[in-house]
Amino acid sequence: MENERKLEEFQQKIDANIKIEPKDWMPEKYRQTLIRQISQHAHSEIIGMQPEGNWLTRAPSLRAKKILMAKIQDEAGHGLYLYCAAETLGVKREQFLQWLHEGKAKYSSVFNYPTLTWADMGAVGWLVDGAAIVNQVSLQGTSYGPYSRAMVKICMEESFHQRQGFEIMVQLAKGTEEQKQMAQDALNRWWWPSIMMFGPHDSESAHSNQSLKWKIKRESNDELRQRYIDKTIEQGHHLGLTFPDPNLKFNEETKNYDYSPIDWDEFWNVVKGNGPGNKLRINHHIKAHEDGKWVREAAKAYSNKINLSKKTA
Amino acid sequence: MSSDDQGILWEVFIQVKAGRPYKHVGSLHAYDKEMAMKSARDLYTRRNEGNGIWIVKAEDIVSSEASDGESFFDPSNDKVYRHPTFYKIPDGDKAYLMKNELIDYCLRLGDSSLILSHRIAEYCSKAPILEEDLAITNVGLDLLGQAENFLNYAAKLKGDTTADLLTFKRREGDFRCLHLVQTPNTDFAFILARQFLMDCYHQVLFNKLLNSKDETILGISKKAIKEVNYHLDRSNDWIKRLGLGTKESNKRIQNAINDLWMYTDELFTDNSTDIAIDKNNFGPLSSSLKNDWSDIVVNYFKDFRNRSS
Repeated sequence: MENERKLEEFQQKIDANIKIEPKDWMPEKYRQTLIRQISQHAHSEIIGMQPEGNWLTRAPSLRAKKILMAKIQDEAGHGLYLYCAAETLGVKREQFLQWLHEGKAKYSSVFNYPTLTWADMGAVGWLVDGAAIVNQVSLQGTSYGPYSRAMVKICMEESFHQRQGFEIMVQLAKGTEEQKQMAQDALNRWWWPSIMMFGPHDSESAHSNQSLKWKIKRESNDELRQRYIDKTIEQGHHLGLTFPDPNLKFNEETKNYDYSPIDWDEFWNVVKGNGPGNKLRINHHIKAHEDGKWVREAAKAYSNKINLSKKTA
Repeated sequence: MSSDDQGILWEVFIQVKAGRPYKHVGSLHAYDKEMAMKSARDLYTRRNEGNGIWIVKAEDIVSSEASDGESFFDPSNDKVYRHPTFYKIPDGDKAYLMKNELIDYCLRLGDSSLILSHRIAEYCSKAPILEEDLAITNVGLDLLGQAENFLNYAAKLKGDTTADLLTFKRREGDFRCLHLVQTPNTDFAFILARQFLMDCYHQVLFNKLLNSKDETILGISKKAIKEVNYHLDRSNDWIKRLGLGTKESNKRIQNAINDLWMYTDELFTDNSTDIAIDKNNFGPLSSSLKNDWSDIVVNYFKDFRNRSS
């Protein structure tokens, strides 16, 4: 009875668009869903540093190098904001990292794909960040206060990420024949993975309905995906590039672009980490984590010594 | 639960302009207050949002129950991209200096910052804690900006080339950087010790260059000295943490300093460029930097030995 009343009050707050704060009562499932979703989001930012970091030392100009460095740094920052938001739910960062290393926590499967050429820095910024932004803009309105606030900050900082990607695509698409081919090849490889970033169709999505009701998510996977496709196709045409989907066409009735069925076998294979990319990314993260263990211990020991000497002084 | 320790949680408050109130912007992990303060600077003022910073341990905050939350602080003067300020090159009178020597000098300063920044870029996503990944990238970005400024100037003096061409199209043997910055990354102690030795060198050098009769070098140095003072402050902190932390960290940082020591002689070796630069009051003799540098480095280690015993 007590819980039912609380649940009812909770839903009323959600319906009135009042943000839920860490100390407020919340259903256990709401808390668990947020822990899963926010940490997954944080892991994605952190693992997402790797495919781009791959090109940091080979960026073709000083300007491009600076921008890429600042962009990857932002990703580290965004991961950090999100870990901190997730920590307000009572789980420590150490635990999140452990779950990531043990394969218990997921991150966006798109970061398991390799970045083969410089054009991939364009395609990742334009398509992958473009898709992420559609999702993040929507999540600014999420019902959990710390998550919503992190999203607002992230959206503000992300604004340059997609632009830098698109700028690279423009340079290549308007460049030599070889550069144009490079841009087209990158678009071909990143288009479908970027579409899959929005997750399973609404009809297949295990958590969707409850998440929408609690306003953890504000729009469904398919709605967000459609918005991304519609805006991106226009941009692609501007570049004079084609999309690897013969069924892509504007539907006069719905005013949206129709597209081919998504290859969900590939999606689930990548999500489940069946590819070589997943091993590579996680091993890189584990190695950095283990290599840094003695540094963290030293910093901790030093702070203990400082505190001790203060107390005895 | 994991035995790992990511430090304690701190809350960060930023003041955008003098006189304005401090507002909460977010949190971070750090092991001590110096690290928390520097991480806050590196994380939450990347876009020039800050004039003042407060940090407080999250556990020390007494929070109201079931509050509806305060409005989150959004930096209002956000930039699309925080452009490093490109220094406009004024036309100075270079007639009385051998142009080639000035070019060589700019390449030396530019290349050393360029390659050190490259080493930092290689370290991306490998730092011991996320806060440190962000912080060290800021150092890398500063150095890259310094490199670009010096290479732009060298390109302008040379004519018919650009900073990009100098960076990407020169043969390996034509680079003028110090050997110290070329040493490949090994562990965090090595990366940090290398940074510390360079930061000390940069601080002494750029302080002298504040007397340069060359307007461009003077302009670049005025900007660089602020960055470098912060870099040294940061690497100082870490040397302290590692030196006084655990047995292992002490051994590692000591080994790193030992291994790098042989590269430091080169920092103070004069050649014909130094002599021409000094004669024209454009910059100091490299050999003249040695005393100040030794004072900083050696006194620091001495002070440190006293405290650790």
